[in-house]
Amino acid sequence: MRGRATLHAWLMLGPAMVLLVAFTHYPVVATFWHSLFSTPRGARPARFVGLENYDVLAADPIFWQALTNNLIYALGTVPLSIALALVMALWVNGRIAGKAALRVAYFTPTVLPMIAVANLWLFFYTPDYGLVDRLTQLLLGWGATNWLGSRETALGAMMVVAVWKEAGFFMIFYLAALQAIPPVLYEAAAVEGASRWEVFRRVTLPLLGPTTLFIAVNALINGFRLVDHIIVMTRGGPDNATALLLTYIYEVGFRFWDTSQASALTMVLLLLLMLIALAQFTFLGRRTHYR
Amino acid sequence: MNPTDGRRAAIQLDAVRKRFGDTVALHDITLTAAPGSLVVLLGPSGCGKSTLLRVLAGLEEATGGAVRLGGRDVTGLPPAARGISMVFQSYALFPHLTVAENILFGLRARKVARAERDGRLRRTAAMMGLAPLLERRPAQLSGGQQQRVALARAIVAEAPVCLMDEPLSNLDAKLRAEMRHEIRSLQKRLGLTMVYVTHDQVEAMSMADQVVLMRDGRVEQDATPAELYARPATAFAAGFIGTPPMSLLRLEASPGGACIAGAPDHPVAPAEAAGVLLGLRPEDVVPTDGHGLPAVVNSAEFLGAETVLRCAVGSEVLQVRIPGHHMLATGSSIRLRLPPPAHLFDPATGRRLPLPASAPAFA
Repeated sequence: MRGRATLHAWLMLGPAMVLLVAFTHYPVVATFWHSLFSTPRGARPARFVGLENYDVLAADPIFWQALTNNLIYALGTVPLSIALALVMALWVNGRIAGKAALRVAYFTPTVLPMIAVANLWLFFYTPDYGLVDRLTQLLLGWGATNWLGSRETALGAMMVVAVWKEAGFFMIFYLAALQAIPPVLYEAAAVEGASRWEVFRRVTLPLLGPTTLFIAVNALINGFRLVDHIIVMTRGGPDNATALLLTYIYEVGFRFWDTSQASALTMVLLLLLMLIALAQFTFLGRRTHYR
Repeated sequence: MNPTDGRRAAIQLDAVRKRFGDTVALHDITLTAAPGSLVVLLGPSGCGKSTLLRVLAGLEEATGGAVRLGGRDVTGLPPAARGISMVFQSYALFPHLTVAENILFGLRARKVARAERDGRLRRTAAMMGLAPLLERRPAQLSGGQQQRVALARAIVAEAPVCLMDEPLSNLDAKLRAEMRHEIRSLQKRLGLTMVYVTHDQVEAMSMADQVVLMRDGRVEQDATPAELYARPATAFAAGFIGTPPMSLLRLEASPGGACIAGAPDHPVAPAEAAGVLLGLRPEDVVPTDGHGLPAVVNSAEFLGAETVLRCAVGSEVLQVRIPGHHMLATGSSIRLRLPPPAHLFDPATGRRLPLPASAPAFA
């Protein structure tokens, strides 16, 4: 009887476990294992080198550049896309005409494939006759700017694309959360004499806490994961100005074919993401009220 | 009601109308409440009682008419400017705030000084027995405790008018009876003018100074509980108040006077009453061994202290409430002694009719 129950339990757990082990846990362990060996080349098989790959990484200025870029990229896009998502959600949650059309419009960038978005923005950023330059010329009287070709503007241009792509998606979560707040709470706040700002700060925002945490974790992970547009638009250039950890891993692993070095890089990225998620859940989770 | 009286009234509604699209929720409601009184808005669901309360609170805008609170016209004012507090059916406690923060929400919004705030919190918490719970979140409280927090939040505002929207409907029967008592004594002690919405006539009868019985967006009767019970103004009021409520029986003409439809040999009212509805309180009808109106028992419901019989008389059904346990079999015959006719209603309009001049003892 007991054996049967155990068998059932394994059968239930089986499918999910097979997928997780095959595609998540095994690759992590394998990557870590590979990062401790040298890259096999031709007749030279891989040999154990300990932490040498990590030493090389620490001495690699492009790695440090990519890491710095990535931190700027994440710290810029995450708060911006969350704030924008919240503003859009509050806006289309209100009583305004044509809000269904507006919701669709805000959500459209999410539906588009990132590759398509990147190509779209390539046109926007084209010097002189692209949309962005046309606008800056019309409104500010600026001349032609090579947005993607200058070190100063390239990373910022990438961040704008990411925010544009992400905010609509996060808006949907905020919209769902806003509609789950019982209207009677707003009525109670109105009877108690709270101003609109107070209602937002003391009722709406705290009740959106769990959603904000969820979005923040996702946004931050996307900050390290979502690089399709960079591959399409700049390939990390110019002069590594838009190189992020993931584009650098791709470059090292699949263009230089230095797989061991790429494995070490991957482990660093993984560690970073784990630390971030852990920090968010402990710090924010403590202050978040779950209904 | 002349306009000078309005200044003394805590609440005065003047032909208040509310329309949602094509549906009229309130038809020209006019009523007045004295300061310090507890007014119950009573009626079945969909009668407009909650809408009326929300119009009073300013959560819904009246389509027409005027709302005056304490002599001040508040018709166009937002809820916060009306000098009211409110307890919602679902309590509407802020789930992310502690009990203390919930109670103080309004005082903080109104920028009441900290010392004053703390003093009022302490007093209110002590009064409501919430002192040990102040640091808890609503989810950590029982339904009854949440109710108290909602009540405390309303009281701490010290608004002259307190509005309650079915505040006890989510509590179990025992707790409901306790809270009924508690709310009433609190209201008296603090001298609040309270408007209390309920569909429960027990709450209405036991708590109210004034009951406003509503139906289909109109006031059916506005009276004290005693008056409502003793002299229902309409057949609807008669059929709503009382457990079980008044039985309404059609009267027909017969040689000896008006009698219950289908029971021609036993006149129960003077001949002029033929064709109208006769209202009989179940507690006024008594079974008798001797001479009386023959009836057939349809069912008997035992309620502990009493038994309620449903009896067929002619083509009508009559309820009888008798003390003690009487399990009469379905179909058994009994005889009933009726009280002298006291309640007659027009079958078309439902209005109460004056009693015929000569009303000797019948049946």
